[in-house]
Amino acid sequence: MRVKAIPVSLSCLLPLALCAQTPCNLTLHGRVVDEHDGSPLDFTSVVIPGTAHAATADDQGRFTLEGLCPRSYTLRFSHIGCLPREQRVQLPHADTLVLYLEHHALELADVEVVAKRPDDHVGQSHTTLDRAAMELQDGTGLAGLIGDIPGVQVLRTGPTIGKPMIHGLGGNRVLVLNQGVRQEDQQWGSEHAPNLDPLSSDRITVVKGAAGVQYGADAIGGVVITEPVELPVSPGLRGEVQLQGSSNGRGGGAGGLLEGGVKGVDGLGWRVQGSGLLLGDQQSPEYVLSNTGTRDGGGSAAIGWRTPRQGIQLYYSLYLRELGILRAAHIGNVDDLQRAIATGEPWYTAPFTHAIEAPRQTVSHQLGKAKAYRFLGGRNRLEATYAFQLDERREYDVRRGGRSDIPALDLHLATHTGEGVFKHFIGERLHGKAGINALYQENLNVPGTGVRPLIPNYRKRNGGVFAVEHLDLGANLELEAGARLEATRLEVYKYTLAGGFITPVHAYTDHALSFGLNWGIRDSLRLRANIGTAFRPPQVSELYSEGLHHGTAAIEVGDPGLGSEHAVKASAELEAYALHGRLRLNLSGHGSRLGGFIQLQPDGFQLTIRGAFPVFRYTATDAWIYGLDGEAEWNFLPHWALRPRLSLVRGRDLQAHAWLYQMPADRLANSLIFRIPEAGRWHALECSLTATVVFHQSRAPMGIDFMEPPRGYHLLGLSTGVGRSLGHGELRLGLEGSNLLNAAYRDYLDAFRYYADARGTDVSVWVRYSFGGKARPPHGE
Amino acid sequence: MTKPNLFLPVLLGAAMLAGCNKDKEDELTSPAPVNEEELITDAYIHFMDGAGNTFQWHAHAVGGLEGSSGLQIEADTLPANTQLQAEVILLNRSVSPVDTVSQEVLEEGTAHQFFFVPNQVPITVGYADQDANGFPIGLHSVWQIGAPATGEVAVLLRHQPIKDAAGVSDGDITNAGGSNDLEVHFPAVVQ
Repeated sequence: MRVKAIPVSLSCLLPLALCAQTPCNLTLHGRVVDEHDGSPLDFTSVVIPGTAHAATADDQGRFTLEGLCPRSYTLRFSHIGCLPREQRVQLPHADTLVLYLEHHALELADVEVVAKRPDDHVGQSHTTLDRAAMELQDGTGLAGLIGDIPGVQVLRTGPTIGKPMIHGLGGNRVLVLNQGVRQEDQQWGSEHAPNLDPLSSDRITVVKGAAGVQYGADAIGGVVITEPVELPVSPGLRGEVQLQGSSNGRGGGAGGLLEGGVKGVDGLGWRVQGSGLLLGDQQSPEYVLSNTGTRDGGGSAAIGWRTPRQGIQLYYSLYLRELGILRAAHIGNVDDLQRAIATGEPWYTAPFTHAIEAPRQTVSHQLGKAKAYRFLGGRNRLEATYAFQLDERREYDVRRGGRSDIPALDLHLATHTGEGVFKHFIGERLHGKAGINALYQENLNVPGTGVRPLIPNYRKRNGGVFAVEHLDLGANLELEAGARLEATRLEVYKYTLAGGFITPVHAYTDHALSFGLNWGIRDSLRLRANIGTAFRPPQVSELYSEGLHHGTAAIEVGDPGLGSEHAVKASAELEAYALHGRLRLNLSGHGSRLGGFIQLQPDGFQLTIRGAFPVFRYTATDAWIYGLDGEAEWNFLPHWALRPRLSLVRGRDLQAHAWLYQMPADRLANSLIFRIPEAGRWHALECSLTATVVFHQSRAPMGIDFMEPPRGYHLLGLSTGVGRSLGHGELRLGLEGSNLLNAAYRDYLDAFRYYADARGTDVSVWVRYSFGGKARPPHGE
Repeated sequence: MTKPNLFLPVLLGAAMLAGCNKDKEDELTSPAPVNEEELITDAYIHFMDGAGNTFQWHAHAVGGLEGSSGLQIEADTLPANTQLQAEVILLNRSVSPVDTVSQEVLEEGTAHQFFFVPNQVPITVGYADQDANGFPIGLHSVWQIGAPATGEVAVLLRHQPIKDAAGVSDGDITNAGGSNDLEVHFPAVVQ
């Protein structure tokens, strides 16, 4: 049995869950709620016109239709106070239906139901996690939440820092889009994790493809999108509180949100949200990972006003984080590193503590966003977004002379972004968007560190134009084509090692193209294919690094002559249903040709008074990365499913005729899932037991790494969630366990694999209570 | 962006851009040079025998730690079959006035320890100083020089070593942990 959330936003109606079983024995579970405030629409009538299938929703808005066959149905919903809606549902559901509608009843008159949002990722393999899926993930942080998706990996720097990697490309080659704004937060190094609270969003989408047309620079490997939340538009208060506790790190977190409309002002809605997390030292199976605690805090507030023709939204968020860096990973020279590798365990361990000492990082990220839109006749609309981001990062190192409390790195990054988009419909078949975007950024080294900055001061200006058009060729075939042109100007202000002051200027002009296809070959077979290009102007660090990188005990030397990276990536994804809907199969292949691919290459040793250091230079090469992602789900018994997930990636350096460094090892995860939609007063029970195998990475280049890639490992994880109504709200409980067998392992993608094992068993519990949504008069509109 | 309702974001943007003042601009485009405060540019070992004769070993980092010009080492020949008092002096000559780093090492004695590792020369080194906890620092030491030979002595400064680990107080670096702030391999000639 399959429970799947369909993020369908009908004006009044929202079917929530879909379960499928055997031939003409499929069951559709749904829930009808008010789009405005999420309150259940009781006694809604649900019929399939032309058949005998009919149901009436209960007082929670839930309904069930049984005895359905694996084909498509049109469901008709009607409820007093709402316009009747029709919704086509394909059984078994072959694709995530996304319906884009303005919320106002008035809009319904001229907005047609279209099967796709105009900005959807037509030909690209993508995965969306909704709130329910997010809460079943055992990871924390953005990277941890999405790290189980086939094709997605986590690039780690110890247990506290994780960055997403898509199809073997990470760091600056994965764009993070937070609340619709490209996240600019000093993502130069692998030890700089994205500074955002993933729980400030209800949905996270991972696009696994080159998406340079849609999103501009950096979207080479893919894009991680934390999608903005729609605000309520009518009165009524809704809220949520969440508590969570974890055994590993002996800590926990709390979060809450409140949202509502304003009485008497139709279309005005607001939302405030906040969360905090405190964890102490993480524990590996055999020892404490000393100084790996974290403290997170964040909050956001949004207010929006919508009328049938236009709308405006203001959003502000603040995210604060302090995290410890494994004490044993602080090294003075390459001998320390080799000693750590030879010893096989951290040289420094101390009893568990919640305290955080140097080396540590404190970061703050603020985002302010204003967005407005207006319909310009028919369905065409103009959108404008402005956002300001302020990112402050302080890194404290273990220093002499009482300087451990003075940051060794103190960066202040201010970014303004603006975007204007025209979403348009040309005739019945063609729709798309065209737009312009601009970015202005200043990076400032705050004086007083007493350390020569690795990243110099700079000013960056960037502007682009783009257009993406979609052509519907019948109900089952959609084509997409797009293009973008972008220019970047970079002014750098830097002291050279010799003591001179230089102010070089760099200019880059890049373009991207994209062609996509989304073809429902049969009801049970869908093909998505895309070929797209993407680009990435070099980062300042790649141009101007000149000095000792303490994190890696290496001297890194940039090359100001580097040009932009260009990628051509092709991907094809096949989604199929078999065994009368009991088997879902999702297979996708990808291949990227990267030109001017920038990587660090070893260039001998430099003898200093602190000992010898390896020298690495940023050099450009050509590379070829290809791989396969697969996922299947087989409902082999009622309520029981087996879900294997596979990720394979290969990367070749075409100039050196060698494997690429830090390509993810092959990974296979098998989940055994048990689901029950209703059990007495409880509902939506889901348990899954997951065994993950990460193989030894035997395809590593020679002479770059200090250590052989670590051996493969097995992990066992558990995840459960269940809900019930309580009072006027809903209670959900969950239990997660990761690394249940307490395996000692090191991961090739973890920069701290030289120093210590990864974290051991963690068991965490969470409870969430959501309330409200009934304040609205039952039949008023 | 011609509709009135869209002006707000533009205005907000303009207001924020206008907030960038002249001082900020100067800070960005003409920053003050950064003095590397924790650099060690010079390491000296001063030796003195019982008769008051002095000898010196000196390592100088050309262009500092991160310089590409390398390391210059000058080491006096040490007299065979003698006992020498040794003192380590560390300087940062890249700042003005010159910073005596060894003074910081002394002040944070509990967090530092020197190690002297002779290789192919008959030299044994004993500590002649103590930190606040009674563990050696190594700024002062006594060197027993044996028969004539040629080899090297590695001089290491460990930051935050585990001083109470086995053998560490006797100068055995094996269990010391910590991180290297200095590592110079001096060529040693005993005559």
